[in-house]
Amino acid sequence: MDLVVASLIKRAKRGEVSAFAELVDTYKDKIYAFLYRMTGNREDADDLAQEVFIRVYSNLHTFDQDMRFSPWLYRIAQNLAIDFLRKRKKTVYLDDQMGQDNDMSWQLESQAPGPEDVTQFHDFQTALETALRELAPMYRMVLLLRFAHDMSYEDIAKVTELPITTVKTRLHRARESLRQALAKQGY
Amino acid sequence: MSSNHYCGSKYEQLEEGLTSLPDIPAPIGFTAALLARLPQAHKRQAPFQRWRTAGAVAALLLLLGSPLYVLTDGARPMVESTDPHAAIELQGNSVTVRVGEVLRGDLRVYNAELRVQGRIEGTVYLAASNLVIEPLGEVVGEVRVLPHSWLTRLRFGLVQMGLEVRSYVRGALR
Repeated sequence: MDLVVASLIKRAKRGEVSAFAELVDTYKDKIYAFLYRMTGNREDADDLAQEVFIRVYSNLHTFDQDMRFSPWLYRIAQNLAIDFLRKRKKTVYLDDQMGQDNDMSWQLESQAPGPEDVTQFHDFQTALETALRELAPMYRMVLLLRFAHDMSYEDIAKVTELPITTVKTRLHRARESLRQALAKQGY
Repeated sequence: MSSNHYCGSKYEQLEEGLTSLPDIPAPIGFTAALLARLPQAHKRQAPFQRWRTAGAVAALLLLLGSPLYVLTDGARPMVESTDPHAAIELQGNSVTVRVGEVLRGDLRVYNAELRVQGRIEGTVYLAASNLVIEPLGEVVGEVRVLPHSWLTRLRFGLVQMGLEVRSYVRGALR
């Protein structure tokens, strides 16, 4: 585990709220992005992300420091996301315009160099985000963990509490579903 | 589809696209809002911890307070007997075993004057005390003088407060 993170966890366990705040600052964007892409809604993502960190705070004393923190954190996030999606009878994406708003222009930073490339990549990413939302949550989750959050199969297995072979199978099917969803959009 | 970004192996292109998904920053003020909710969450989580803290404070007070109480209680005389039926009179700094009384067991006296008018059948322990055996008085046993130290006082004090571990105190006094 990252030494800085390990130190923050140790201090947070001792009750140092400032250390916990640093821990939150370290992971909040990743967790928020994960939950946003799982729920498709900023407010829900915000609420769930808050709940994730409250649970982390409440259960930090049970966290084994010999383990890696990130899978533990994502497991809490995925459990909350799954519970949320189960309760939500109908999926309504209030942020369907994501990627088209001016305030999302930061998405283009550090991407392809030329304006034309940027536009094409932007279009592709918009299509990708849309296709992701069409996937079943279990597929969407493994794809996000694997590629957007750069997790190993082992870590995904820990997060999802699935065997590694199942994770691999699920990833393969998820990619195929994503490809089909993109094909519908002409990609 | 862009020839620049989605050509070749489709899966590879997909993975590249997924890896390049933009970050989505948490709302401004996320951490502050979260921290504001923490105390409530903490209370829900571990009410036992408050009891644990209260218990620790109480234990500390008892641990520190008992010796302090005993040690700072000035020159208060203390007396203790192993004979549950003993009739011992304590008046001011004077401890008296009256005429006709028989005390069967040990007697410990701290910071007092022990006047024996009756009969003591056991060992008398004296610390910072005087012993006066009056004409009709009698001690059938030993009389031992203990050093006048804070430890002796503490041991006597613990006995007085009912905190004595008898075997320990007896052993220590002997």
